[in-house]
Amino acid sequence: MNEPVNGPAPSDTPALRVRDLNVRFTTERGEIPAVRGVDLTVRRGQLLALLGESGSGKSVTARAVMGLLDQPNVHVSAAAIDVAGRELTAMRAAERRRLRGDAMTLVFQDALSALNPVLSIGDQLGELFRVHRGASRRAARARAVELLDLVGIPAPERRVRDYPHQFSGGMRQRILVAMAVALEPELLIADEPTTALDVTVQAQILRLLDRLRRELGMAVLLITHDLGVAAEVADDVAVMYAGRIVEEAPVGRLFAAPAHPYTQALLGSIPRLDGPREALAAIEGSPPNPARLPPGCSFNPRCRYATDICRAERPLLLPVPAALAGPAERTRTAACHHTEEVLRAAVG
Amino acid sequence: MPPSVETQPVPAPNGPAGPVLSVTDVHKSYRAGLLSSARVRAVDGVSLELAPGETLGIVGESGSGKSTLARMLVGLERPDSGSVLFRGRPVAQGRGAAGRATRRSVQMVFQDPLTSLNPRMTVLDIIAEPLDVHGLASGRAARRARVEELLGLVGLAADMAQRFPHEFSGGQRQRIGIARALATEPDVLVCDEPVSALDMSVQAQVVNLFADLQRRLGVSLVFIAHDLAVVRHVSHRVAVMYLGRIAEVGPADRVYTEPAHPYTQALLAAAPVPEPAARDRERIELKGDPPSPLNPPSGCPFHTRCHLAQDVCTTTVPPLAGPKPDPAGPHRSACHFSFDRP
Ligand SMILES: Nc1ncnc2c1ncn2[C@@H]1O[C@H](COP(=O)(O)OP(=O)(O)OP(=O)(O)O)[C@@H](O)[C@H]1O
Ligand SMILES: Nc1ncnc2c1ncn2[C@@H]1O[C@H](COP(=O)(O)OP(=O)(O)OP(=O)(O)O)[C@@H](O)[C@H]1O
Ligand SMILES: [Mg+2]
Ligand SMILES: [Mg+2]
Repeated sequence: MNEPVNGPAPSDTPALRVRDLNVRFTTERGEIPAVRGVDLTVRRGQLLALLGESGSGKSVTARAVMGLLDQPNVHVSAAAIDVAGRELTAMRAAERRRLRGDAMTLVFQDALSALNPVLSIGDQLGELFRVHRGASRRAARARAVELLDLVGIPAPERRVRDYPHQFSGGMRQRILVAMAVALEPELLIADEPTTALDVTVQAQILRLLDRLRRELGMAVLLITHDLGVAAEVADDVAVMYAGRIVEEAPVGRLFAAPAHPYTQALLGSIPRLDGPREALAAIEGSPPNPARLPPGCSFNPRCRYATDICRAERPLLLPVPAALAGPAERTRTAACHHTEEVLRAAVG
Repeated sequence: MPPSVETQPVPAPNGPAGPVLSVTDVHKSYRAGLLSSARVRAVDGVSLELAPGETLGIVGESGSGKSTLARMLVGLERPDSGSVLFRGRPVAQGRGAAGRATRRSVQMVFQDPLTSLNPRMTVLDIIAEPLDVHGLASGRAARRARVEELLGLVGLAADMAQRFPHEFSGGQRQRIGIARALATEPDVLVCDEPVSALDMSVQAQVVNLFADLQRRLGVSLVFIAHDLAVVRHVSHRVAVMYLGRIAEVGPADRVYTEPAHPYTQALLAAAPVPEPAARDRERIELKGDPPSPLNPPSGCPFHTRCHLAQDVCTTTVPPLAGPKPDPAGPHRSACHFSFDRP
């Protein structure tokens, strides 16, 4: 446990490996199992999109990985949380804090509140190099200029002296990305980084993330509920429903033939740019209440494939039979008693 | 799954009836700051019409003036110049019965259902508020019955009337907001980002609800959103705004398949496409960042980011016009180079 915080990890070690992550909130209304038995693996240079309904546990998963849930009413447990080969579950809080912002970083949705309004952008970026890398003031400033250039801010030598309010919303979001990649983390988690932005700015940020993971070999976990965003940049997609991962697949396969009824319904509800004016296929029923989940499969009350077994037995997240999984280099998984039927529906 | 017949939106309206809303050259500017004398031209000369039973979608970059225009449409804000008429009567003015009747006919649905619903009021009182204001329900029983009817209209159970907003999910709260807007039996609903805060599956439910309401009640809709695909699904016509002006307006199919303005082309190219295979498509990239509305560019407001820009664009504001034989036709664009104009 004494290796340098930013020491290189062997290249076959995944940047993130999570096994059996559980997060429970204790509230006046009772226990809320927000995350239930989640496994995730993100390799170096891979972009995994984590999709799912509002309230399905995406942000809580991210915060648990980052070690940002050390609060009295939260119970976090995991068999393993490895970031670039370093096991976080056994780590003391101070050690984890040191990893945060260095080996792993998190970009939030709201750029304005994440930046310090009274410090210039150059000071905020430079501070990272001074605190984590012991860089001199001058060297830190030079690195700040480089980073602004990297994320496409014009005239970086001049803009480095400006304050957050002097930038547009899209530029501020790019600056946040710059701060997140400053120390070349092994893992970048971006939680809805473009949700509040309009499409032109959103496209800029997505292209930037895509370029950075290619050029820097970063692993990216991109949290979103926008299927279009996932389709644009993800290699693989994991879909959450009611605190669990219900399907994971290479992006092309998932869009071509979803293996879980929830994913299928979600894909059916996307409005298309080239679509005619017609009704969208909404998912019937209400989102699940995490404090009162139905027995068996959590999706069963809204599922058109549901049968008796779905109301009695929880389906495990298992590899999709190779014959049905399609030509994928990587294995696909799904948690559904009727996966074969669901996959056939897409083909037939 | 093919959409079922009864959720199909109404066909595009036709017939001789005049517009329900006519907007003529409205302007609205704001002081840029408390101590500033500079002014932001939020809406800078917009004209448009809305037909009965029609849905007009409005898209455009953040800050392009969509919400400001929406507030003027419902009379929450008075234009500095120009007019907004509901069936020939101004919406922002007019005391007395005629003025109230006009305002009652044009209602607004807001983006964030949680902040626009009073957390201390029950759903019953929230939805009944416009009934009370306009004296539309006499007696407790009638008031309650009307609220239950409205809840039914938006697909909520009558027994939800006694609950408070925080007890509902985002999609349900948006339905409450819509029920309230429908209380006065308006002819026009102006919806400012009504589904932007909702996730995809809930968004689809609410979008279908709008189509269903339009089919059953014949209301006209102004539908503002930054998701271009959603707008296409609900709109008969679409207007694209840039820096306070309309850059392009036309039938939805035409605007989406043959966008005439380079800004519309860039917007459509930037929209994420939910098809991994489409990733490597060709795109027109927008240069630079949006200009400051405090100091808009001369000539065409888009010229600083436009790949087609020529000298004329820096000096002359292009009129919003259609192709040669029909400059006032249904499809119009404010670009010197649209429709093969020289
Ligand atoms: N501090 C907390 N106390 C109690 N419950 C919480 C807390 N934070 C989150 N939750 C609950 O945990 C569940 C998962 O929330 P989470 O924020 O991870 O959802 P999400 O998938 O990120 O949704 P969204 O797409 O809306 O951001 C929700 O039911 C939420 O209400
Ligand atoms: N009350 C106000 N005071 C000062 N400026 C304002 C006010 N309302 C709007 N503005 C300015 O007017 C311009 C248009 O704003 P508006 O809210 O209409 O844009 P929008 O198209 O709705 O943007 P968004 O997509 O972000 O909602 C912006 O530059 C905005 O800052
Ligand atoms: Mg979240
Ligand atoms: Mg707005």
